[in-house]
Amino acid sequence: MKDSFNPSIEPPKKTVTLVSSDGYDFEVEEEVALESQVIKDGFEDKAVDDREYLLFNVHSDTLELIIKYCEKHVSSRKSISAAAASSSSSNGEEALKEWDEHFISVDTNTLYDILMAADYLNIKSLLDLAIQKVADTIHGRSPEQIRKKFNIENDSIIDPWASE
Amino acid sequence: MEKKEDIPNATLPEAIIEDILIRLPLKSLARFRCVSKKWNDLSRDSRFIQMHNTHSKNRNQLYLLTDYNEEPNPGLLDLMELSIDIKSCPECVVLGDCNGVFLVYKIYDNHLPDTYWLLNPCTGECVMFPEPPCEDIDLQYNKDNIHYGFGYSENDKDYKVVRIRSICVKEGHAIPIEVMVYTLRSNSWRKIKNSGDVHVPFILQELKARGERGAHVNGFVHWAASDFCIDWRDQEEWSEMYELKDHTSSKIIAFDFGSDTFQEVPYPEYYGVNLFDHIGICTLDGNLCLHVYGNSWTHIWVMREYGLRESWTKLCFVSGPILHPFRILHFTNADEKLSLLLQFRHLYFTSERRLEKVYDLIGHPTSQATLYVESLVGLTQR
Repeated sequence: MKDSFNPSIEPPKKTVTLVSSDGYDFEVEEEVALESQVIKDGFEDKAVDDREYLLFNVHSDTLELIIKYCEKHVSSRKSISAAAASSSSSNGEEALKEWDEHFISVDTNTLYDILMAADYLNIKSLLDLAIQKVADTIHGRSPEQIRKKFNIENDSIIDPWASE
Repeated sequence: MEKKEDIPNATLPEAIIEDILIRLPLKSLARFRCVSKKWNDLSRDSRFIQMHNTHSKNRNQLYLLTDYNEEPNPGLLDLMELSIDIKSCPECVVLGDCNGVFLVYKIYDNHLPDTYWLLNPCTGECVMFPEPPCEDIDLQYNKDNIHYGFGYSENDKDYKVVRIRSICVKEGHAIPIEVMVYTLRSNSWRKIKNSGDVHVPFILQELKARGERGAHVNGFVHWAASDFCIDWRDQEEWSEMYELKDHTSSKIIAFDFGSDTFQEVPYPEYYGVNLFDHIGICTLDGNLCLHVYGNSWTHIWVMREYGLRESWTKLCFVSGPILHPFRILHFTNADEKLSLLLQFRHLYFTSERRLEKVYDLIGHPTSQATLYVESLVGLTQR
């Protein structure tokens, strides 16, 4: 977002359609969709009237959350840069962090769904957020709990501290 | 959201699992080695270890207290629980650290060879090696001015120690007369020739305290130096070899662990062509940090991008002298209130940058703190 936000000359909102794996259409603003590096990469090559993306790996439940995240980040970025331009003080970044923390506090299955969708759509900030969340929730667990959490079969017959 | 079950249905891709593990504290990572063979292999993989180190640079930092007093140094030993040998010897000095590995120097006796240790407190691994043989019998017992540097060579994928033996020629100035390099993989010392020519292009600052160390950044180790050219080929007397001017320009000298050569690092443009003030060098948050000081002031600079002269940024200035040499472990400047955590004390300044409060670090006056980032770097499995 290189252009600074200026409401008076903003063109009418352009939208794209995102289609979830279970067939639901989500119409979102272009700049929101462009938070995904994958969508951004091929965006200019696509005809304007063909801006529809079939997201085979993202369920509508998850897509709804992803869109919510992207919308929040686009609008926060605008208000933060507007505050900076008018040199008025703002705690926008702090508030966004708090919002992120609240957003990512979900059950494990939802967290994994978000994580994989963020990976698939290549939304770096969301991917980092979700990965850090998983790391934070597992670091105190026992190896057995970890195997369950990651569906890992115990093939370990080694003494963890033995040097090879 | 109705899915409340904590056992997930999906299995995460390996690349993502790796990304998660990189963010874990080392203790967890070590404990999770028994989760599966794959996790165990990963935690020992050098590429993964390097990535983990990079990621934890700003996290999990501990302060390791060491003490080279007559008594054994409790901070160091508690952390290590290492071999009997190191415990039974009272005096030991941390000479450098890199990626969570420490170079420790044990002083036995002036008439016995000294011993060095590389150790990783997190894994408990340690490697002992002796000091290099001394060719010149006259110098054998002169251990007053030896500069050390410890670091990692990305080229050779190896840990290296450089040891510069100097002769003190005048107060504050020491001429390097021998440069030796130890590499962990070869487990031996090697003498460095003076890059093919006869000049050692600098004079190092005389060491003021034991445990003073070269600053390691980016595969280079740095010291404060002066610009002299010394022709030491045909000279009999050290004192005839050089001419000391009243004012000598200070320099930052770097030893490149990749090519085993010396080079100069530019100081801030602010000081023009010649930097006539005294300088000191340390690392701060992984960057090269320079202090320039006079009788009543100290300027502190940080090189934000290694090797780039324009990237020198003035961190702060304080009035009044700070006891030299110092290493800055942590710097804060909130609400115009400056504080500096040094290796031996914590300094607080007023908004006019005058010293307000001083706290000595716990322990003896000779206690030294070092920043410590845990790592799984292996020393013996190579």
